[in-house]
Amino acid sequence: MKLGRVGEFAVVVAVLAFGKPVLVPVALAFYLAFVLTPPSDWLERLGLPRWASVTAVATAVVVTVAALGSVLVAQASDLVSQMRTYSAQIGEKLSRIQKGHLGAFGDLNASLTELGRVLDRGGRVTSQPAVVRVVSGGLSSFTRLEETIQPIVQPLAVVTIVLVMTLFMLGHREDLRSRLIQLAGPKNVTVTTRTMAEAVNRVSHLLLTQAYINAAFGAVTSLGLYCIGIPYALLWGSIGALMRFVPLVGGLIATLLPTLAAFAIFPGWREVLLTAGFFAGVELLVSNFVEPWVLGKRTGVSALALLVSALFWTWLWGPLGLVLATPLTVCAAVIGRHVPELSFLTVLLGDEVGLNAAVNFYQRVLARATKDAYRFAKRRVTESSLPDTLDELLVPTLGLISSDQNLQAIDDEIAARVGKDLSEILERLSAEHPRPGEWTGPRVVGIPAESEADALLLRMLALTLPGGADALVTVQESSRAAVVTEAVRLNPAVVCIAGVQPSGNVNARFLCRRLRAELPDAYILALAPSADGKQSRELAARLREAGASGVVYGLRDATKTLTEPAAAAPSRAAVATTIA
Amino acid sequence: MVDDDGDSRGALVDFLENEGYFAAGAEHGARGLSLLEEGFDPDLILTDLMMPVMSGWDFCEELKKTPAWRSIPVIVLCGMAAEQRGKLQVDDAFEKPTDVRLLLSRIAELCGV
Repeated sequence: MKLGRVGEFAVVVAVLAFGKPVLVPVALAFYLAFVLTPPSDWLERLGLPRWASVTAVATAVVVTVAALGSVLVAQASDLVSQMRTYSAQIGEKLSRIQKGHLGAFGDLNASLTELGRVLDRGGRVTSQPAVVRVVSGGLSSFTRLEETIQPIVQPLAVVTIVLVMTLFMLGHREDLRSRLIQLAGPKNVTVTTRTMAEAVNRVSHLLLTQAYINAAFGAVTSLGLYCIGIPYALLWGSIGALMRFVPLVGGLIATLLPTLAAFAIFPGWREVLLTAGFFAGVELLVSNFVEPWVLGKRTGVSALALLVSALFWTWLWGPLGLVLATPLTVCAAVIGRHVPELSFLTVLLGDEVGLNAAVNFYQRVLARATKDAYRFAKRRVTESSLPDTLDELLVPTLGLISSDQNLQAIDDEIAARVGKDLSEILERLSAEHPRPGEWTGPRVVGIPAESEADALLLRMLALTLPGGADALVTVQESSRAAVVTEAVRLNPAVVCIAGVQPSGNVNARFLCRRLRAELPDAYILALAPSADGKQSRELAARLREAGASGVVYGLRDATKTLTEPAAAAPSRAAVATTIA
Repeated sequence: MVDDDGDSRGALVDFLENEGYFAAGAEHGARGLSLLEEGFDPDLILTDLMMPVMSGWDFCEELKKTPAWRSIPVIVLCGMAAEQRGKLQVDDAFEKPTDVRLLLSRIAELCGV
């Protein structure tokens, strides 16, 4: 029986609602494991064994919670003991409000009272019969004991289970990952592994960063309240920090609690307004500037999606659902990115709005709308220039093909077809816009590191150099060893190894090592399509270690480097003139 | 070095590190793939074939499916004859017990050092 998408969604929601008693503790344990995995990993990188890192992290958490908790409990119990005094002050303040001794507030109060009277005159008093409930007689002592203990034992049991599960997940995370991979089946290994790696990375970073931000929020607000003169400043700051983990309403509750406390504690209004203003100011600053700046690119989820998701999870799982809403939404968006059948999740939840120029161009080529893609590229050349169009449109397209191939979203046949269409577009563009000038430097031997896409990247590079294709000779052979032999035979002064893979440049490193050994004086330039943060830095460091003289990203930088004196006039003359 | 036998794996990792290589171990194919997913970018992979969770055959198949990994040279270390290895697209295969000097020379060749 086929359910359809709506039916499947209904079944998932029903399972989530029905399985709440089991699923909520498991989700909470995952939540904590996500937060504690980065510090545990960090300790392991320092050389600690797994058991020691997990114990250290768990101990640190328990000690911090216990230390902070004891101070907070002391402050909270002191607050409770002072409640009698405060309730008298609240009573006095309320009676002043009722009597209207409030200055400007008094006018507001009078207006509201008058409005109430007007509404009462138009309204109708409805009197409903009182509900009478029949209750059974006295309870047995066992039932009374059960009713007394149950509210304490049940949450304690859940907390214990969550803690044990968290420790298990931290201690056996690879084992857990292997089991999940096995569960998904051998055919889905790549997708499952990739999805889990990205989900763990994104959610861990999100929660850890949020923890840092909230801790800073708690510290700043505690200090601010202390300066204002609010008693139990640390208590209100800590509650505020904890409340900020709850999306949407957390900030509001964080502001409301100390404001109410100021209302109860102080006879006047100055401290109340100062507290509310200070808390609201810090909250607005953090939620509108700090969080979007720090977290914005890490969640990959739109603000609207988070809002809808918070409502959904609260409806389904109550307050805990609200706490878990953000990590669950991030996980759903990540799954959507890697499982083609669930890609609608990324469209609905993701933060990428619209298509950029390169994606726009790529989707035209992918849809076999080659003429349309050509016109699109030609328009860009007219608006800017051929080198800029290649760098901003065609080179990123090579990266997108490679990325889709790695995700197994397109097979080799489609990739080859797209590459061929790109080659045709490139041919037409270069014929219409020949590169002026003459290449005066040594001839450059270009070697594609891995694939046809790399060869295409080299063709694009040739078109951006003065004199165009004459400047560069491409060496393509059936094996890595044959490429090295041919390149050595040409004895070039400059070698450019092009690779479009954002990761996995094993061939590029092999070529760098062999060519450096065979051609010690040659300038070896490694060309990658674009820089990708930390990964690119590591990639560049390894290529240099393997013998590359320089690593550049994009055609603009490559052209600049090849026309610079260091590469253009290396220590010995170029003799590469022909290819066999 | 992908091998479910902790002793063999540890011994070979130590041996390679003594020879100046940076080596990492994985207990089965799925863990090997996880390492690659996490950004570990090796110049060569040594793998056993008979392993739990994910065998060497499935592991090699996954490597060949993903363009970012298909160029990584693979040497199979196994206790079975060449014809039993099936249609594995690997660069070399050594039977166990392995002649480590011969293996080392092949590793150096495939890494380009």
